[in-house]
Amino acid sequence: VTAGETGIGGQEHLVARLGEGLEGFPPTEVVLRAFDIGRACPRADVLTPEEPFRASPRTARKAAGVWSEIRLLSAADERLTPYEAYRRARQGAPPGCRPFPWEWLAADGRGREAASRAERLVTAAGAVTLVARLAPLLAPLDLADPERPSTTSLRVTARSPDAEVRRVTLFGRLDLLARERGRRVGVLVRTGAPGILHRRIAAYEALVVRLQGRKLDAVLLAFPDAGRVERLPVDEELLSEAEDVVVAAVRHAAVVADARRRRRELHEVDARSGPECRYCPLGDDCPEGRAWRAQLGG
Amino acid sequence: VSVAEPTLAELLEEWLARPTVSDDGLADTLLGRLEAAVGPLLARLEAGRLVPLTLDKERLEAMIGCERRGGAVLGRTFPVREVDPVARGLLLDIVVRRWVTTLGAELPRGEALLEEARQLVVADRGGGPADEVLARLDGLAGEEFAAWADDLEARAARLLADWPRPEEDRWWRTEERAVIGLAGGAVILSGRFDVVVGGAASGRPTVILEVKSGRIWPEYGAAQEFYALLATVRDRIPPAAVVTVAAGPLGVERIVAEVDVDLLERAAGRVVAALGGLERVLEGRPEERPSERCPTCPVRSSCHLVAEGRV
Repeated sequence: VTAGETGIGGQEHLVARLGEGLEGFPPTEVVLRAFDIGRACPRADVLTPEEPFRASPRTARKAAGVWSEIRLLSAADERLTPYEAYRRARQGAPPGCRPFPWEWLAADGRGREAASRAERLVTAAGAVTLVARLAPLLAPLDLADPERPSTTSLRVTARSPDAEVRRVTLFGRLDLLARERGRRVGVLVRTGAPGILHRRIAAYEALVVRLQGRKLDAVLLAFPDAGRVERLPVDEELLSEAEDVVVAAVRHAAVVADARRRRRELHEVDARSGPECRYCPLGDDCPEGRAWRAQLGG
Repeated sequence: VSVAEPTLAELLEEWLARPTVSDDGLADTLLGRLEAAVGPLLARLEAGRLVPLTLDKERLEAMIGCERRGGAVLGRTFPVREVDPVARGLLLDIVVRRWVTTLGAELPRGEALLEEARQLVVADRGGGPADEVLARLDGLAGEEFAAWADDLEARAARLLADWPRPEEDRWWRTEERAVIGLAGGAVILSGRFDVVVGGAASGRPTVILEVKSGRIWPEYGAAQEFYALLATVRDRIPPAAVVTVAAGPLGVERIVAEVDVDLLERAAGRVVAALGGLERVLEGRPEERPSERCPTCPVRSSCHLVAEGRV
């Protein structure tokens, strides 16, 4: 069976696995983004407000930085400074490239809110720093035809053995699409240092692209903070891992939704301790969090 | 005979004119030393679900100062004890960020400067400032607002007096994060440089500038060395220098660390020592050490030294 059709990485395969994973849960509509892949503790997540995704200066500075990097890659024969790349990015899109919505930063493009002058300035500061770090990482890769991909989403309808329907929407957002020696590569720009979570996120993004029937040969993970780039070929192994990731994340979301719906007491919801315990609002009210801190003497 | 200290502008001119040279394997040597120190800890960190464990300059300093306190700050966040100094630091930092990003555009004066800085801090929310600091800034009004405005304007003017105007082709930038992942990302050494000049693809050496709004504290020297270590391992070229400039209420102080092998070895040794402390914490036998931090220590109530009247 060819990966990405009816086998691993294909819709039928994923739907079957999701159906099994959701067995026993009432009908649930789950929306997943890469951000959700790192969620680990159902108890803490029951507490998290269900806010819709809202653009912030923090996300804007990354988006503007990546867009400036696209401008810089498009003008690879010139030595642009990060400031010049940012300025050119604001002035217009390279030929054939979908323009970035600068009005999002400049005026009333962000929902009903306008970005303030202060928000625009911190966005510009972050974008300049990001492009200064990305430029030396991506320049040696010989990336051609860079573009900013549109946000992708896919609705999967899974029918579990008890015949109840669940809808799962997978949102994907690669930061950059380009060609490298004729191969289609997606670039993900991540903060911090490479870790296991980044591989899972890359796998997730590759799967969303594949499920939409589009070709992607590799995912490049760029870590400007760490000065590193990692390359993951999109193959059966990565797509299989992605299915595991999606099934686990959807199951996690279903557990959280179910606990909210049933208005369960927090102590009735499973907890999974980890580094997030350091910031968790439950603090010492959570025995698992208390035990996690106790090993550090706190 | 008195010899005038060089200005920051003169120092930057000299450092940025130096040739960039390969580190000749130095980054690998330093990294190898750090990896070797994490190795014995890894199984315990994974079993305790402590991975990834991030160590920044504050956590390293805490662990080296007293292992009880070091373990505690790894396990939880504590409220900001003195809000005003943190708020003043944040304001000065964001004014510098504004100045660099606009390539030295003239700053507003007085209350207009404070109002703009406050808006910038709010716009940067999510980037670090604690809620109590933002609340403090939001609550400034009347005469207090005017006094804070005068103070901010004076500190910014003193701080920037001997800085050169930022130039685009020297790649001035702000808030640059640097990390080193150890043991496949299980332990992350992390820092955020206030201002960076040169480096990256600029073809010039890197200079890191740290901005402070109070007096120079002894741990600032260790922080400079830690930042030099982060930049060296990340970029595989040591920065030329790390400079800390502190605009206190009365004057400006500056400490300069020109980066060499001894400095980097010292920084790596401090990280190795902190990891040794972490190992003792996880074994349940942290070393408690008295220090000037004891009076404000968050685990003071359960400290053996305090119970025994030794601090």
